Amino acid sequence: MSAALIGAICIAGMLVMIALRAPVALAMAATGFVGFGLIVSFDAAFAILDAGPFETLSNYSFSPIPMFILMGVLASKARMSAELFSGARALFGGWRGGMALAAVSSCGVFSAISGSSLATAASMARVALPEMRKHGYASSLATGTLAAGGTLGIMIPPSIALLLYALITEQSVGAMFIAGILPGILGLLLYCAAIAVVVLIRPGIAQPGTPTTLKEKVFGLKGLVPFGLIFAVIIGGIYGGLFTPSEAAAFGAAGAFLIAWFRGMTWQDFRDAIEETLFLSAMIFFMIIGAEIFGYFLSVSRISFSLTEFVVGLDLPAYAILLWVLLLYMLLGCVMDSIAMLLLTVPVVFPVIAAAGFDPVWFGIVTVITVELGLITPPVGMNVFVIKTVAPDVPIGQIFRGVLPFVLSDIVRLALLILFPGLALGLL
Amino acid sequence: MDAAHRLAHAMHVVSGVMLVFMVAIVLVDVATRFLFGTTEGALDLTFPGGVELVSYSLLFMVLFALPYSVSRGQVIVDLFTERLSERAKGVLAGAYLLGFALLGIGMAIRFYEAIWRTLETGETSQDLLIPLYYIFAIATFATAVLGLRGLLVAVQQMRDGGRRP
Repeated sequence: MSAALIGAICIAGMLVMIALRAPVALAMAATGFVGFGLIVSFDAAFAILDAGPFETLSNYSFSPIPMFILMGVLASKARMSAELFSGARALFGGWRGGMALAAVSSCGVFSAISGSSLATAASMARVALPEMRKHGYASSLATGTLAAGGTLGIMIPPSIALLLYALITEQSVGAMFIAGILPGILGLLLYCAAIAVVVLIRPGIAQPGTPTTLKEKVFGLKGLVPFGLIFAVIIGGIYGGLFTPSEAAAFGAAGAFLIAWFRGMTWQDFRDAIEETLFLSAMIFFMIIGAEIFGYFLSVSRISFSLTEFVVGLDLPAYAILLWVLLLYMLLGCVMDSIAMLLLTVPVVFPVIAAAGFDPVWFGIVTVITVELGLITPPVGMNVFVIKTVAPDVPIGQIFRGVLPFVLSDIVRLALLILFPGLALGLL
Repeated sequence: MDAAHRLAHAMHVVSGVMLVFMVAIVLVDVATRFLFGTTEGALDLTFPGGVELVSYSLLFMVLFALPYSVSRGQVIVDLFTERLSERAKGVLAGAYLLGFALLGIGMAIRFYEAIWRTLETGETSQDLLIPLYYIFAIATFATAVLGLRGLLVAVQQMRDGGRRP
């Protein structure tokens, strides 16, 4: 039996395991071990159990992951979201739907110091959702806005997903972060446009707010200062060549700690933040260990190579290949967590995309946007479930209906990025 | 069971300390480099091995966090099995925890072999010249605890069904 055939059988087995509730990390590790054992030898497979994990876990390049997570968790503990939302509300004043615009804008700003969509959605929802509902906003608009707004966390740097993509494909982390800025801002603007259109069509679902003076609007901007400072240190430091991503992450975490401390973070809050960071880091590193073992198997099975050869042999136009890949991501996004999906699929798909001649940084941005769609589409839609925990009385179907305009705006963003790659690559 | 849980929790605390240590090392490393640069070398508080300290802190932070986290926060796809009974889900979860236990035991055996290998060769880390067998010994301990805890939690999961340990 050829290595590629063994590879294909093992991958099919892995998908069955995943469908049967196997943790993705374990499914990847078990497939990697068994597949490598069948193709090379089980003695050799046993040897990768120390080489793979040891090299990965002691790799300096992976050190920003827990530090960026810590930064985001500390930002949540600092209770900065309330001040941010109140400032954004003042900015949009008496506009009909202004509170929804304030909520989604606050999500965008919060994303600048949080690399996680779930943390962004959870932090902002606790503050903004009760206010929106109190002021007569339809539940679908209020919950949909926050579920979608949270997804900005995965694109606006620093982003754990962009960081992992860069490490998997050996791209510059700094370049990935810089490339994420314009698509992130574009996403925010399109979400605002989606709210404006929805409110224009159905004015009854959002009420006008209290008009504010210019002074109040300017005063409201002070809530942005801590976010702007941390974002400037991280992105400015990486962009200016002052910091490596690890150093930027450490400064970001220290900055978030100082802000949280000045805002009255207790010892218990700090301990909780560390504990939450460790759980999230362990979850990601379990998958990274699994992906590392799986990666050895992919190399010896030459399955990526065979797939690339097969796809090139089909003589399809490059954009047709891209569309098939994005369709695959959209389908997988319906059932799988975004980080798991990246770790599992990028090593297989990336050589195909590279052979088709696409820019790897641009493809990373397009991939992460597609993956983030999975956070708000049924049946998994993790962000939707996060919002559901904050508003348990709102039926899940209503939240999914609420995110529909934002899904459409994400598809528009994806189309714009495909048509104008400069949106991602322009700042590089 | 309780002793393994307490040990895993103690390692979790050490993992938290390693996380804070890692952040602190990076900050001190950058600060001393900055001082060195701005004083044109007059004030040299820089130290060798900053990258190595961060790398090994990351290694221990992760390895020490794994035993306590093994039973929670795993990414699973439950779309196709959500209608299973809690008992069946518990048994499946237990079976997969056995997989993590095997992974931990396998890694522990390999790290244990690496202790003797590096003891014979006298291999050290590049910058700080730390004998690698120390590093592998700590890694062996952490992964052995992962194996043990995975095993115990798996047995408990399979016995108790859907109840989370």
